[in-house]
Amino acid sequence: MKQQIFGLLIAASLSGCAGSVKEVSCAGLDWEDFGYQTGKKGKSVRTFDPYRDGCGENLEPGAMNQYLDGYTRGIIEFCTYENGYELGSENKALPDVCPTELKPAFAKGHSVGIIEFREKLSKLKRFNEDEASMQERTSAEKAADTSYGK
Amino acid sequence: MSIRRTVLAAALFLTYTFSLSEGTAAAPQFEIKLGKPEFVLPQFTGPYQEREASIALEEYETAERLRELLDAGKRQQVLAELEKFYSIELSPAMLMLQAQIYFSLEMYDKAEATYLEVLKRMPQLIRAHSDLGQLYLVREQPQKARHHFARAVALGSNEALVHGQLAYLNLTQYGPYSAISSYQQAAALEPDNFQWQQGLLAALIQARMYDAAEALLDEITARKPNMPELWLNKATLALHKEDYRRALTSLEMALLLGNEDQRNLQTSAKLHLQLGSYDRAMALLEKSFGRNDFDIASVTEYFTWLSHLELWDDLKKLLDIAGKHLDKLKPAQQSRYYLHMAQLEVQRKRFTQADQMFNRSLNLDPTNGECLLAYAEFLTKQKDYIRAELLYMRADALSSVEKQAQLGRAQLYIEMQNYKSALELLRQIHQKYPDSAGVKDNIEIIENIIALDKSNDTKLR
Repeated sequence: MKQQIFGLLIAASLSGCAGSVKEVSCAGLDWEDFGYQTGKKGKSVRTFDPYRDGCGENLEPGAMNQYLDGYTRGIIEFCTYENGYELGSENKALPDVCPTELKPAFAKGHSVGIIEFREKLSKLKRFNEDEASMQERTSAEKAADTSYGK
Repeated sequence: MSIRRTVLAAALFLTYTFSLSEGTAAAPQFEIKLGKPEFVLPQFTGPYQEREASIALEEYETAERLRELLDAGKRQQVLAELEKFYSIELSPAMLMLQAQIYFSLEMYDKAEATYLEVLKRMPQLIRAHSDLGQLYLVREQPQKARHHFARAVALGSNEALVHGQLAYLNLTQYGPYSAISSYQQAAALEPDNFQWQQGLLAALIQARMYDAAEALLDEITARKPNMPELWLNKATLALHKEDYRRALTSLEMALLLGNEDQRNLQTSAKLHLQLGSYDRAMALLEKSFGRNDFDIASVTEYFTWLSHLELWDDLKKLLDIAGKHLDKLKPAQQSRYYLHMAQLEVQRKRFTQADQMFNRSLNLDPTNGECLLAYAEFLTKQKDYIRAELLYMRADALSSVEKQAQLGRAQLYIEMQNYKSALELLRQIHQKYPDSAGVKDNIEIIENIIALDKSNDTKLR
């Protein structure tokens, strides 16, 4: 059974104000799968930083290369036109994780998604406006009918 | 603006060796000389192209900084900058730069891993294939090198160096036909590059396309008349065509231009002997003998040659020259020398001296079968039958001359009129070598002689 080695690091929060102690596993992980899953979910390659920095020499030999092999496979699967489009159509921000050569297609998908999202949004807005004005008209007509009837 | 690539000033130098004695041009040998690397950073090119790599827009600033460091020769510092990133964070163009710096610093494992990383991301990147081919050449992995050069060419590489290297690797791994076209391509791209012409020439000669090779050679020789290698090639081609006079002229030209290869000297001498210009042959052989690498086996070939032509004076001259360098010879080689001395003395009818020389030869190499036979034959002629018989019996024990020894001994018995022993021996020979021409006829003749003798004896009684 592989020995579990843990590393400690102080992970500074983004604001840089507070620090928290986090424990990471330095050996025994399926590094390639870990990298693959990280890449496939579109997370940053820097997810590995805590392991690299926290474990130092305790990091299992070859861990980083295995992680990167897996990550590269994962990120290639993630950075597609379709996934960009999906993110864009949900009005999600374009993540800066894709390698240069995949970025154009991914960003293009994202832009198309964003445009469609905006079109949908404006359609919806127009629809809502139309609905509102229709309702207004209907109410006004009803009011007029009532007064005429009276 | 098209991308400017980082160029590794690695050059392939083809050298060419010749083997005139075998009559064929050997495969060229190559050495890779890594020159001073010249780095040219890739530049942003806008549209993304699959077969070339450009740096990302956001890397432009970093690239400019790295360029300054490279210009200042701070390659380690550039590496340190690049190593701060995970490989996936760098564009293939920047990764290529990193790989090339590893390569130039002879960090071959890292260079290989980085090139492979680039190819994982951009499998059609021509530059990565050609650089990786180069790297594998340096690491003496020619099959891998060939694979990547072939990929680079298949993807459209139009660099003479890539075509030339592929041609060389094809020549050494798959033979001349697979190399000719690539060499032609390289020569077409760089018509003044001598390496490609030499490579093409080697491939044409190996493919036995002598007319094409000769035409190419004429063209090159006209431009570089002072290169001995070219004249050696001409000589090789002439030998292939059995045009010995032209071969000799070309060979002499090569010698005149400074080629002093031992084998070429000897081949030249041999051609002179064949064409009857003995004085020049002697002069060349004398020059050849004076060197440490001279080959007694080829010398004895000339002794035999001169003996057959009965050019005793020339043989004497040659033996005298060889005699000055006897100390460089092994005992078995000295034994052959004395054998020829003995044969010369026999021709000059100086039998006492001949006897001494035969003895000296056998003392130096008691298993010199040729000498045993020649000495026995000499003694037979001198009617010294007892010693001759002993020598034939010694030779009989040597498988290389066993049959000749037995036939010689049979002849000796006939000379001694010992027909019974001769018949017995000839029957043994016939049994062992049934296909030997004439043995059966001789048996019949001797049987008749014995029968005739018997009938004469009976009549006399």
